[in-house]
Amino acid sequence: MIRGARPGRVIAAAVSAVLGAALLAGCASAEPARPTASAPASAPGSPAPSPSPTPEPVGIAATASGASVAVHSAPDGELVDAVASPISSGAPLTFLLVENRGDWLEVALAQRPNGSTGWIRASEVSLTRLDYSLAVSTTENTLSVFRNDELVQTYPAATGTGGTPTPLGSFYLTELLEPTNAGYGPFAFGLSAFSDVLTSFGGGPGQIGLHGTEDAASIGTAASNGCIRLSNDIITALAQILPLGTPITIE
Amino acid sequence: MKNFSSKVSARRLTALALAVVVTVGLSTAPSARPAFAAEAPIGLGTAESFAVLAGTTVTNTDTPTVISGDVGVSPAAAVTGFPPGLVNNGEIHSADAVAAGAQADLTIAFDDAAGRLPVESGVIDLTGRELVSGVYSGGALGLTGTVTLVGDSSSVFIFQAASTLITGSGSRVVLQGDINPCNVFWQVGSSATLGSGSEFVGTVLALTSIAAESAATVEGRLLARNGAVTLDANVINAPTDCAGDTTVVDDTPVAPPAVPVRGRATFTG
Repeated sequence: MIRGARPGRVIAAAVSAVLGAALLAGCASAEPARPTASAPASAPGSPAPSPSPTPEPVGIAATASGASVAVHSAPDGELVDAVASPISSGAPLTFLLVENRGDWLEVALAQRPNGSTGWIRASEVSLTRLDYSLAVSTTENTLSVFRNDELVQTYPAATGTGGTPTPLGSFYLTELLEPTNAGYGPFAFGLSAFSDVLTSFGGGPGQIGLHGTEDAASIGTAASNGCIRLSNDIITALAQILPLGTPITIE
Repeated sequence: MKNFSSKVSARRLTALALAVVVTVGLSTAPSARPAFAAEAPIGLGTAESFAVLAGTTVTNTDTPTVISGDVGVSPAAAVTGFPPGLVNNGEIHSADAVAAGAQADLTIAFDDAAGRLPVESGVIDLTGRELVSGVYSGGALGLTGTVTLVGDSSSVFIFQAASTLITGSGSRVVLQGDINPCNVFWQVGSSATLGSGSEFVGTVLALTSIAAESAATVEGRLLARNGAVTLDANVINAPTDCAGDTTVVDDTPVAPPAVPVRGRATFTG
C-alpha cells in the first residue's frame, strides 16, 4: 500500500497562488527523512536491513525496451497479449511492477477490468525507481502528492459525480499528453484506470485521466465524468516532476 | 491475468517496497563500521537465480552432476556435459540476455563484496576456526579441515580472498545456529578450487575460474566472472528465498519525469 495515502496521514495544506512554484521548490530541497513508522520488518529468516541513506522507492516502473512486450498468464505461461510500444498516444509503454521473480515480472496492466495484471519477461523492459506517489480522496475531492512517502502537498481536485464516479483502487500513470483539444488544460496524464460506467468517451475507451481544466469552478467538487481535474498551474507543476508508472490510489 | 487492485493496495506494493528497501539497504550499507557490527548481505540481483555462472565455459565431466538453479555462460556460450549433468529448478542460459544480465549483476556484487571492511585481515587458513558474523580478508585463503560459522538467521559472512580460495579434500564448512546459506559469500580475486568430497556452503564470486573437484557439494552458488566453471560429479543447490530477491537492486535509476506527447486527449474528462 502507498502508506502515505492513508487518510490519517493526509494533511490539509494551505493552497496559495504559488502552489506550483512551492511544489517545485519543495522537490528541489533535501530529501526528507524516511518515515520510521513505515520501515518494514525483515522477512523471517532474512537479515535485518542496514540503515541506508537511500529512501525506499514507492514503486518500480517497467518501461518497454523494444517495439512490444509479450504479456503472459503466468511465468512461462500462455501468451495472452503483445502490447505495442509506444502506445497509441505516443507514450512509451510503461507498467508498474507488482512482483519480481527474477526472469519474470508481474506488472499492472492498463486495461479492463481495472486491476488486471500479467507476467512479462524482465529482459523486455528496463526498470526505474519511483519516488513519487499520488492519493486521491473522492470524498474530500483532493489529490495528495507524496515523495518517498512524505506528504509534499494536498490540492483540491474535482472527481467524478455520483452518476459517473471515479473508480476506486490502485493504479498508475500511463502517459502524459499535451492536449491539442479543449477541456483538459495544458497537460493530461492517463491512468491505468477505466470508468466503471462509461465504456467509451470522446472516441476513447473511457480511460480515466488526471488533467487540468478550463472549468476552474469545478475544482474541489464532484463534477467530472470520472477524471481527476486539477487547476492548470498544479497540473503544469506535476507534469514537470512525475514519471510514468507513478502509483496513484483512489479512495 | 487476474485482478490485482486489492492486493496491490494492501500488500503487494508493501512487499515490493520491502524487497527494495532490503536490497537498497544492502547495497548502500556504509563501508566503515565497527568490528562485529551487523553486516549486510551482498545483493546478487539477477545472478541470484544462478547456481553456476561462467564467463567462458561451464564444463561438467562425464558425471552425473546435479544442479538446482540456473546454469549460465556469458559472454561465451559453451555449456558441456549436460547430460549427463542435470539441471533442476532452473534453465541453461547460453550467451543470452539473461546470462548477460546476471554477469552484469555479478560484477556489481563482486565489487560490493570486495569493498566491505574486514573485521579480520591477513587470514590464511580457516581450518579449525569458529567465526561469527563479519568480513574476513586474506590473500590466498585455504581450508583443509572444518571451519564453523556461528550465528543466527541475521548473520552474514563475507570472505575476501585477494588471490585464491582452495579447499582441501573432505573439508567442510559447518553452520552452527540458524545461519542462512544465502548469507555466506566468498569473494575470490582470481580462482577457487573446492576439493574432492568437500562440503562447501556459500556463494563464490570469483574473478576468474572455479573448479569443483570430484563429488564436492555446494549449498550455494559458483559464479565466475571471466573464466570457466568446471564440475565433476557435484551436487550444487542454489539457496532460494534469499533477501534481495529482485532485479531492481543496487543501481536501479530514478525514473525521469514523463515526456509530454502532443495529441488529442480522450480521457473521460
